[in-house]
Amino acid sequence: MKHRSSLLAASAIAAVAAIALAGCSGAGSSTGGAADDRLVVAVGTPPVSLDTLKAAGGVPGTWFETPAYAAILTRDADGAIQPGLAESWQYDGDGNTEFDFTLRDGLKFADGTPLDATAAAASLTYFAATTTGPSKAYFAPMTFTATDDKTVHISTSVPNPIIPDLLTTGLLGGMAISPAGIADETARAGATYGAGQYVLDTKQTVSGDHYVYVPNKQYWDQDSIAYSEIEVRVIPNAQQQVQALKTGQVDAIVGDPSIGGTVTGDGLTEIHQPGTVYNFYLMDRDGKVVPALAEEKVRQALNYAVDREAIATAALGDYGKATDQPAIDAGDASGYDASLDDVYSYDPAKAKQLLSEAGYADGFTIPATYLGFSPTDTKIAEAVAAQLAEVGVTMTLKAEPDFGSWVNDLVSNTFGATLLTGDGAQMYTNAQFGFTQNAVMNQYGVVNDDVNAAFEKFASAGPDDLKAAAQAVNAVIVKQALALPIASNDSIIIFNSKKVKPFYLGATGEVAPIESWPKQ
Amino acid sequence: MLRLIARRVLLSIPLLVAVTAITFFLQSLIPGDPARSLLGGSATQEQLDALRQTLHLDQPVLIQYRDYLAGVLHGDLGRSIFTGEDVGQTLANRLPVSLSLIIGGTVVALLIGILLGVLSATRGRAVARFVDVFSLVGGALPNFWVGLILASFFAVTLLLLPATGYVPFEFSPSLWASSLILPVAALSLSGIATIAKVVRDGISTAMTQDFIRTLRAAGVPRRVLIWRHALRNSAVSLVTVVGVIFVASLSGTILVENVFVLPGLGSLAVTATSRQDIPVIQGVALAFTIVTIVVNLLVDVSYGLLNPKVRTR
Repeated sequence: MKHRSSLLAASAIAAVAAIALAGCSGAGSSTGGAADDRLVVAVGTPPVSLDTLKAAGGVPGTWFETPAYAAILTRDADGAIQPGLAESWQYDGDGNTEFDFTLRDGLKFADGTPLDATAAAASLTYFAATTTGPSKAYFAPMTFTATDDKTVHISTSVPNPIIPDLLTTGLLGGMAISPAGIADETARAGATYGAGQYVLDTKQTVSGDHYVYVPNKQYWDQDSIAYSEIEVRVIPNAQQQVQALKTGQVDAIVGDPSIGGTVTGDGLTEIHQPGTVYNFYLMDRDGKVVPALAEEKVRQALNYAVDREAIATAALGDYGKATDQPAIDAGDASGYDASLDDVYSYDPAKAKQLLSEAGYADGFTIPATYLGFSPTDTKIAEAVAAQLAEVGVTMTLKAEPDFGSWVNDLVSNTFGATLLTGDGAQMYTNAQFGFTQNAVMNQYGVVNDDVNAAFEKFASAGPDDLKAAAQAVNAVIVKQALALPIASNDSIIIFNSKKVKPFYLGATGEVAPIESWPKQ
Repeated sequence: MLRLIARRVLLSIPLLVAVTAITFFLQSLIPGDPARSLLGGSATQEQLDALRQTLHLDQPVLIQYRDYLAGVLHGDLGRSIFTGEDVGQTLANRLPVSLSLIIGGTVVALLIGILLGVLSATRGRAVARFVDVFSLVGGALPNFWVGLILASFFAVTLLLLPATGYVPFEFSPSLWASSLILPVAALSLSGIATIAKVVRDGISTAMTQDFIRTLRAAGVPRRVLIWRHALRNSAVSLVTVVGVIFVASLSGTILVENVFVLPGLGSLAVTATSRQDIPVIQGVALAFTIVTIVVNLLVDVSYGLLNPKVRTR
């Protein structure tokens, strides 16, 4: 018996030792959330790359970038532009084509390299020339020159009224990359080369799972560093994120309408605000694949055929509002015009009449693609397809399981339309994303002289004319039915209010960068 | 014994080549373009072409495979298309997580399965029926579903254990253990059921055999009869089952790691596949294959130790 007991004990010890040995030297820790001076946020998908040139903009895409990459300019809680790495900035003259900013004294990147005007200009030049992300269209027409140690001059061949906005973190290009980072594209994918409050700790980070940022000792304003560490954890499923939030493993998550309002618990709080608009982009407006879409009456008919109120209520609940326009009420530059909200009230009979007048009384087929991994996108796409079927239009939907597959659909030029959220807060980016000749969502390269004329006027408008000029662009988009807008879409943040206090940047719909969230 | 091991190792080489070839050619059939996924819709044709050239995606698949194989033979598994990380290093970072889970799941299944099996064989019908029902339920319930239920109850409702995440052993042994309890429980359930049945059948059969009857007549206590003699009689089939469970756990980890958000090979496989990160997919397949081969080798060696006839073949 004694022999057997010894054998069993030895076996048990060996088994435990084997498991422990297996667990040694493995991936970095990813369950330590809750220390008071440590911020842990969860996101649904890992970044395509940590490289700012390839990263996804917006929230939560920029959460992987902003802790480590400081931007030239920042925004305050009202959304107003404020100093960042630069302490001053201004347009030179009229026309929105010349701009200067002046950096602070003594700036350094995290690796200790000086961040002077030459380095800042090099970073911006490199970004403008090399990025393949959505910001490309806004940066590509610009040149950047260091005029002295602290001043960078920007000159743009296309008038641009939002250069200060582009120099914040939101569109990625404003985040300064060090010379070492510029020199090594491969390394940028898995490490950070910025001048932000934090720097990625590659030893604690497990790519695709969690990313740990530790304070950057070179940052110019050490007093502003609030957390001992920031961790961005990838938790793919919304319910898993909620569980992690409830158990205190994470401090904040990005919500969606499927979980909004359902997460309750001690200190758990929710904030939400409109930022984007769900649009079916009617891409094939020259009718290369779907000839009917070349007809303005047909596009208008599609807009009349959709009951937006019903779809918004079913798919978005309290987190969206039916709209006929691709803009939200977020200030002068948004282009929002309340009078455009009722251009296409739900009227299937009118839709059928317009289809008949355009020669499509028997209907037609639109092949469309969308991001099938998003439950909200799926609900909206299927509801729109069902309602279009009521007026004889068949929308064949292709649900893509990931972003890459959707991009491949987009560039294949075999789809007439696609569902996506567009930036409703800023007409300059909104128009160049969806409707101008070089827009990302205009893969067919459709030229619309009315859009171009309105946009040119808007791009060079001064502060006094900006609102009317932006609304004029919006009016062309809505009245010519270049898209099928469905509803505004709120961004939602659910967080532990005992720990942190996330906030929105005014009416922009942008959530403040995570490193700026005050500790509670 | 050495000859047995040498023969098994030699046989594993063509298996490894076959697995890498099958994985490589199958993933080449997945629709889509990794370069486009990485660069997005704004990339110019020149940028796409340049990236494809850098990643050797412009080469015929056979040439790509040849280059990959040459790299593997030199210990170079390549770099992730997306993160630029060395694939070998990525696997080294994540393998301990999966091994903790799999070894833990197998050990738990073995200990509890043996206990249940012995009780079932020796404590009458009620326990036997319980084991039958448990086996049926344990085998039928998907491990990811069990994981979700466990996380919901023990982590969210009772706040006893973490719902997600992993802590390395050297960082904190107690946190490491607590981060593994629920995933290991979810992974081991079906294994417990299988082992319990195998042990019960083995002991029941052994207890009717002549050598047990002789030992009992010689006054050997019942407890010794069961634990030392009858249980040993079912050792060969037990080793076979444990090997199968261990290998099956490799695929089980893919779901369990995703449920508990563990940074192991399973979750890496899912991410890499969805992104078409070819070198990483290859690396994971290679790692899983090597683990399978090693486990099978250990099972064969165990046969040799338990049954001398095997050593002489």
